[in-house]
Amino acid sequence: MQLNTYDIYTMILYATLSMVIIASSFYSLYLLVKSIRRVHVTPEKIKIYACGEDLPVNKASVSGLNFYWGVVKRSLRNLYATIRDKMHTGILSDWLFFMSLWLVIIVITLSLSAR
Amino acid sequence: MYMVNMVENFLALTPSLPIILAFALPLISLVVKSRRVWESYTITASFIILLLALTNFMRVYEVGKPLIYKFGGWPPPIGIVYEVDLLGALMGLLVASIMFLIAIYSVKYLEHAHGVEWYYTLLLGVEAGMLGCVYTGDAFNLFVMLEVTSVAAYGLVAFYRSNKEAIEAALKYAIVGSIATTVYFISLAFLYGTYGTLNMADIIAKSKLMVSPELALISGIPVANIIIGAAIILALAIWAFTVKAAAFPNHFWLPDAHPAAPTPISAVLSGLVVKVGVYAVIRFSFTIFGGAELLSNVISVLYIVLLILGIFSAFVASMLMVVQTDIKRLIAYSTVMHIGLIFMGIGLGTPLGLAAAIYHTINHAVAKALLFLAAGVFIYTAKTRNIDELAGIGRYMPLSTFTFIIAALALVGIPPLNGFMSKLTLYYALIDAGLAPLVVVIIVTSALALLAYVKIVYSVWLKAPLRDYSDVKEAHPLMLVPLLILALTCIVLGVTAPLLMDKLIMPTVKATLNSDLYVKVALEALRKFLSS
Repeated sequence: MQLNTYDIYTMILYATLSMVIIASSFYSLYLLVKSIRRVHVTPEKIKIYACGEDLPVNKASVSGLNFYWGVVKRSLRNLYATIRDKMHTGILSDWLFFMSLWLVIIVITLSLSAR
Repeated sequence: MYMVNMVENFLALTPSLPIILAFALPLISLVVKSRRVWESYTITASFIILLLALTNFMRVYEVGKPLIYKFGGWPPPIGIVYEVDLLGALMGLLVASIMFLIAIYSVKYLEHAHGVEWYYTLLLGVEAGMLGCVYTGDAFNLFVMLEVTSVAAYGLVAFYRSNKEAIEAALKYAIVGSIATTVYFISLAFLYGTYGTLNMADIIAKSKLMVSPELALISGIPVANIIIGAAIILALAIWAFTVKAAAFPNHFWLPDAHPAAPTPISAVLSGLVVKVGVYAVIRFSFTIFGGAELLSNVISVLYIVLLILGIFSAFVASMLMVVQTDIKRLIAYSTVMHIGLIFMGIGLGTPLGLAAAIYHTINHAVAKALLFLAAGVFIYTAKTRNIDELAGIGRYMPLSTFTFIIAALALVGIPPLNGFMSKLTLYYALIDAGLAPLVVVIIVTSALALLAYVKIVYSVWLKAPLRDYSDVKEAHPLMLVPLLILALTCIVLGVTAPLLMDKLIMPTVKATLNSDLYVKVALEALRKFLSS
């Protein structure tokens, strides 16, 4: 590969520009359609029915964390148990254990490479 | 000639001025009790430092070789010198530019905080330390400047000293940081014991077995086995630098320090302080030891170790990013992830890999500073760092949210923003090095990062507000202007990628790898001194 040719960057820029133009055209079309067909929303329509209890809209929102956990909750539980609950405990001695391990690895590896 | 001398003096003045001004500020604050004066003082100081850094960069770029400043007139390797090549000058400009914007932003962010004179003192201190690190041509002076940077950073993390969380985070950071600098100090002992010198140019000359009667006259010949010595020196020094760079598994201090520190300081830590660690790794593994034929085996193994470290950093941090509920902690893990990508570029050991690493270092510094400062606007307004509790606030400050989205998209790697262009360079570097399967690491980690950022944008922009924000307005101009400048920089650094690669990044790579020129400049200074 030639280090002084950067055609790919220029191509990317053109591709991005085309995508922006296409997306803008579709968005303009959407806005146009939206302006023609007006939807009237009554206050009753957005009210939440919760067995007759008073439940404001903002209290009915779901935690953003579920956005992720809903997908990977079970499949990556073991991995998270290691990297989060064993490594990232917030306890200094735990941190120093892993840091020392890395120090030992780099010292041994580079020392062996010097032979 | 006068101009040349003046610019050489600027080299020394650039890190020295913020140190002097930092020490002067507490004294001034005893006499002048106006925070407006302290703020104006810091902004003016950082602007002057920016002008100096810009002058240095332009001069180094113009002459095409490193500039040298001899402290006390003593040439290398007798005295301490600043030897600034294009990499050092570029990093200096990056530090000075972002610090100037952070100084402006801090005025509004800390308007209700007490003890801001100490905040600004430490802010100038951390800037001085970082500039010293990237300008110095002396391995021991690098240690001193790392300490200056770190001590000021510890103090800044503990700025909210009535908060237990801040004290704990600062103490942990200080303990981990002190261990790192101690290990680097031990590596300096090995360095002096092996080479009989601490001057970087002299170390290069001795590693490359260059015949120089002048250097031999001053610092003698290596007194121990260079290969074994260099292996131990590199192992200890690189370990210490990975603490400063917050690379896995030496990253633990970073996610704890961020939530505790004032947000502008989070931007300093993630945008700049960790980059000093990256700079030191590049300087040691490429310029100082990289070109020596004798050490090729050690360096090859080091590159492999750094590549593996980078992969682990990127994966672990991106996995942790998505499970965070604290916006600053999430962004902190993003930093660890991007440091991983930078280390992957360094670990390739090729010019293109180094280009990707340098380009991504610049892009990440700009985008990460923007991301933190934009998040800081939400935190400042909503008085919470919890992503769910920030729900809906972005609707009331569309410009700030726009800049946040620009930064997030840049870091995820959406074209034509800067982060995409440097990731693209890294793809090419990996393919060029015959490691195409590793491209998957960048794609997977970027996808996870996208998931994490979507979580924030979804909460901040799309979710219904949990509180009444009807009286919330767009961020104050002192906070908004730095955000807009950084957002524009993200776009410009991306759109001008072909030009940047050709005119800036590749020349910087060439300068970094040209250790012969680095030695030649130092030798010229020594010969001039000996003949006078």
